[in-house]
Amino acid sequence: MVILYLNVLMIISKMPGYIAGKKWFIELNMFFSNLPNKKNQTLSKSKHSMRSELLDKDDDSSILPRLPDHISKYCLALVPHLDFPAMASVCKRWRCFIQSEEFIMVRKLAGLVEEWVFLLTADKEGKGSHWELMDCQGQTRRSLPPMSGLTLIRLGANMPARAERMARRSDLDQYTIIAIASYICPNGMKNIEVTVCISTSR
Amino acid sequence: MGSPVKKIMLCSSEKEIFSVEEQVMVQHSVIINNMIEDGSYNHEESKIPLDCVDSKTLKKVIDYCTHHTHHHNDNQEDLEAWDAQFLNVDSNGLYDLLMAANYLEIRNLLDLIYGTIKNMIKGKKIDEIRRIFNIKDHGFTPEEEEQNRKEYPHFY
Repeated sequence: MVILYLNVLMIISKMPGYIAGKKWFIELNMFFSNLPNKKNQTLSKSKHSMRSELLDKDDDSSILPRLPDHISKYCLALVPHLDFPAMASVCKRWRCFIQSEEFIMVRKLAGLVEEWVFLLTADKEGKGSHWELMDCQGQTRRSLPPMSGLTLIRLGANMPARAERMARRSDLDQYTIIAIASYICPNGMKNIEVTVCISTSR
Repeated sequence: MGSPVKKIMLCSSEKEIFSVEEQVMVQHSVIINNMIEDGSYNHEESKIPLDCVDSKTLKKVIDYCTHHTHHHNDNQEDLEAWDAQFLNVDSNGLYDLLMAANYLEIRNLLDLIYGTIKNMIKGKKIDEIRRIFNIKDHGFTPEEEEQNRKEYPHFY
C-alpha cells in the first residue's frame, strides 16, 4: 500500500501546478498510520490459546463477535481496499486494526494482490480535473479528495510508453499497467483528456 | 474385490462418534494427515477427540470433505453451486464451521469461509455491516460518530 501512494505521488509530482497534493498525502497517510500500541502480532496461535480466546472473549471487545481476533483480522484483511473507509467507521476496534501496521502485515501474509487504477479525469465542464480510483475490473469508482491547483496534463499518443517508464522508475518489484484509456469531455474536443496511470500489484 | 475402505473415528464435543473414510480426512485435513502419517492414530483403538467441534458442525465438515473427495472431478460450476448451498447457514453456523476448519486445518474449506465473510463486508453500508455482524457497541463517542457520518454520508 505504501508503494502505491508513493507511486501516485510520483505521478502527481509530474503534474504542472502541483501545489495541494500534500494535503491529500496527509489524509492517506493518516489512513495507514500505525498505532504504537498495536505492534506486530503473529497470525498463528496454538489451538489451545485460540480456543480459550474464543470462550473467554467478551463479545463487545472482539473484532467479530464469537470469533478470536486473529481469525477476524484475517477476514477483514481480505476485503478490497475500496471498503476500508466504510470498515474504519463500523466500530473503534475495526478502525484501530485497519489503521495499524499489523493490518498491512496481515494483508501481505494473505498474499493479497490488489490492482488499482488511478485516473485523472476532466470534470464535466472541462474546467477542472479530479482523481478517481477504480479496481482492476474498473467496476468500483471513488473520487479522491480534490487537489486544487492541479491541472490536466496531456500525454497524447505516447501515454502507454510513458506510463511504462513511470512504473519502471518507481522501484516496484512488480507492476502491471492495466489500461490506458481516454475520456472525452462531453462539451467537445477542446478538453479531451484522461490519463490513466499506473496500477501496481500489492 | 478391493480391500475394505479404511475408516477413522472422530469424536465430537458431545462425545458422538463419527466413522469416516480415512482417505477423505487425510486428503483435506492437515492435522489428521499428520496424525496418520506419524502413526499417532491407532486404527484398532484410537478415536480423534475434537473437543471444540460440536456434532452438527462435525457432520457438516465431514460432508464437505466427503463431497470434495468424491466429486473433485465435477465441473467448477457444480462444485461452486454445491459450496454455496453448503454455506447457506446462519452466521453462528458459519463461525462454528470456520473454527472447525481452522482447528482441523482444512485449507480449502477455510478459504471458502473466509471468502464468504469477506463478501459479507464488501460493498456494504456501515449500518448493514453492523447489523450483519451484530456489532452493537461501536465504541465511538456521539461526536466521533457524527463526524464519521458527515465525512462519509454515502457509506451509511
